[in-house]
Amino acid sequence: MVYKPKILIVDDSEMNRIILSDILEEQYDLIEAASGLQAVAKIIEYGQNLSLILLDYMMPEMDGFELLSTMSDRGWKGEIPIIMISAETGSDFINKAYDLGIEDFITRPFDARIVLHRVNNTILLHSKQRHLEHLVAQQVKEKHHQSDMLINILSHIVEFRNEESGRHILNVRRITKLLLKELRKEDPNFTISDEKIELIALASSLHDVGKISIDDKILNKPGKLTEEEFEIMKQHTVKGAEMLRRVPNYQEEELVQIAIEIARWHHERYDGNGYPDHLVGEQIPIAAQVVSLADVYDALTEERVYKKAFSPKKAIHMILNGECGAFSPKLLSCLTRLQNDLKQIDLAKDTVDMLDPKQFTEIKFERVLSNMVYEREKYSFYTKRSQEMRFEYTLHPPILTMSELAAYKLNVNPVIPDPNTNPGLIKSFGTKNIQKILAHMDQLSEQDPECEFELLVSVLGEKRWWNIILHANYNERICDGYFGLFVDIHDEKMQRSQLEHNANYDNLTGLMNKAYAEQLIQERMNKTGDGNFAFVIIDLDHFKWANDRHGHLFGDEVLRYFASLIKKNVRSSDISARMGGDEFILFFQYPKRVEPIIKRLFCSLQGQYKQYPVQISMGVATTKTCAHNFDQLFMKADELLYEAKKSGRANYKISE
Amino acid sequence: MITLSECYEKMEGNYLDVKTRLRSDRLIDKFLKKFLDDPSFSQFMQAIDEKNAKDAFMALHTLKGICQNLGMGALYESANELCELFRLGWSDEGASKSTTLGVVYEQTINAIKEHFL
Repeated sequence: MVYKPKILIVDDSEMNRIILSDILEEQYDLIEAASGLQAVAKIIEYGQNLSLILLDYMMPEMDGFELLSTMSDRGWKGEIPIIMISAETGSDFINKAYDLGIEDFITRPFDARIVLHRVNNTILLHSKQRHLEHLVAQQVKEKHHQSDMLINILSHIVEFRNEESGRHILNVRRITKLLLKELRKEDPNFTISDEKIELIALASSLHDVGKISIDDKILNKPGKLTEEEFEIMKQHTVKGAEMLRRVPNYQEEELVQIAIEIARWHHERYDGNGYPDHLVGEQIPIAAQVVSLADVYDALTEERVYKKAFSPKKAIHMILNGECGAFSPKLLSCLTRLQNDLKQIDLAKDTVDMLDPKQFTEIKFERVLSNMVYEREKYSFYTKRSQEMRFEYTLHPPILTMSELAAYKLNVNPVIPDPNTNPGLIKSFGTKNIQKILAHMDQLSEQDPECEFELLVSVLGEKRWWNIILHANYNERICDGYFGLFVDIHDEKMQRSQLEHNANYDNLTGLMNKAYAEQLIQERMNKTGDGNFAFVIIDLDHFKWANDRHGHLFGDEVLRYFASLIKKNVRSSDISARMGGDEFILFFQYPKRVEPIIKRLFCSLQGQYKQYPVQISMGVATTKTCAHNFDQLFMKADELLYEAKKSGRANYKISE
Repeated sequence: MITLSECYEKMEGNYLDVKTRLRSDRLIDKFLKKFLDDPSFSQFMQAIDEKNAKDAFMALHTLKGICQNLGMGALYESANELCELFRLGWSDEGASKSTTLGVVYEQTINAIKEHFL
């Protein structure tokens, strides 16, 4: 299949989209959007796979300018070239469009061939520019890497002769950078660019280059140097500067100039007692002052042949005390302030400091949209593997994106512009649920940005319980969207309610069990206070006989039959339960007199099940004689039942 | 059945210009046929009924753009004039001129239909 670059046509008029499609379809793969909002959704969907956007200005919902602003807000400006097409011809209008980041403007009526030419050229130009940017970035990076490497090799040679570790040079470089940045922060009169700081730090690597000319015996003498030897040693400053000055061709280079200053004057003291030139105070160039301090600090905190390493705190204390030279007060206060930073940077880390990434702000190494495509791939991989249903909802513009599984289950597109009015979502969630979700969103705040709740959702035609977990996203105190998860809890919920049901109801008859009835009865009485309640215990007469004679299965049938009689004759608000065996409980509220109700019940709960005549005895306790307490009612009713049975069965006793 | 050239004469448009821009008679035919279903005009009339200036402007703007591209001269002139009247909000003058636009629209549609007879 031939690859065709993708173009997004954004126009609310179908007629216009058709005209453009006809011009372009031979060479391009066309994607259409009928509004700015839909366009945003398409851009999210296709990302950098879009080679161009053809944009109309006048559109409902979100016009061309609003779309351009949104793209700019999201950092997409310049990622995909845009050509605007409009019948507007005012220069202010066209200028504004260019300011908002379009590449080209075509006025109506347009010539089909010219549209094609411009589209071709814009795409070509953009891809060439991208390629060049990438190339330049690569080369700059490579060049920096190489020069960095050379200077490091050179300074390492000096240190190698010095029988010291190669870390000192790197450390001096890092500390120099930190000190200069701190000085710039603290001293408003000290203005220095990032580039210059980098340059000084790089040049600091050569501060001891003169040591290459000093005799090994003196350079590496374990004991104290004689006065004569020290004089020779001091020469490394002058010799270093001289060597650098004689480097052919590069004397004018700023790097070389700074390196000379540092090499010659990094042993000068602020009080004028240093060497070789006894410069005083600000006569000493700042680069040399800073490197001098960095050199001393690192020497103190590193182990050497002649000394142990001091702690950073101790080293700074010694320097401030004037034990290791004299420095500018401003630099000393910078050093003190940097105490923690110096401790934190891993000075021993054996890597080369690469260039400051800030230098590359002009050149984008990574593009927002390609990142977005990458992130989306990653996201889609994880969500697919974990079967998670994630979603994200941005407010400006209102776009809902969700993982494929969620979209599949809700039978909607994974990217939905303006979800509040999307028919698919309304169908799956229902208007009420959508309002519920929006209400939950409204209640979230920056302090309390999360919530979860359950909804009954239509999933592929089946109603299922979902748990919605929501997190509000705040950006500079303003909520700009939400993300979250849909979790299908249907099976779990159903299982739970089945378990609850099993725990509360009698398997055989479907009536409540005693424990559950007790709980409900007590609750009912607590809630209603002092109403008239009747508590009835019913016993089937001669049930044991029926059981013994016809077997247990028959007995079960009788119990089921009797339970159905109960269900038929009580109100839904009454509580009826099987207490166990052939005993049942009824509990209900009555207005004045209980006797007529009991009489009616007594008659209706009798009958005939196959060969077994169903007859009952009842004990009825009421709250007129007992307290509103389950145990007391129970005991009383049980007592009365016993009396009823004793007096010949098939009757009832009431405590009234 | 009238020819494209005759059709454009009736629509007070420049047939040659359109043919140069849109490349072929086949495409012009295709677009004109499609124009018979374009909703911009009825959207405009509905906006007038509802006194909705924004929608009226939007519909006219689209209509004018299409007419311009398809070289339908008379309808373009009429839509363009009305479009400017509604640019800054409701216009009674614009509303009263909508009947004129209706007449021109009718003529344009009839010319196209005659071409396809």
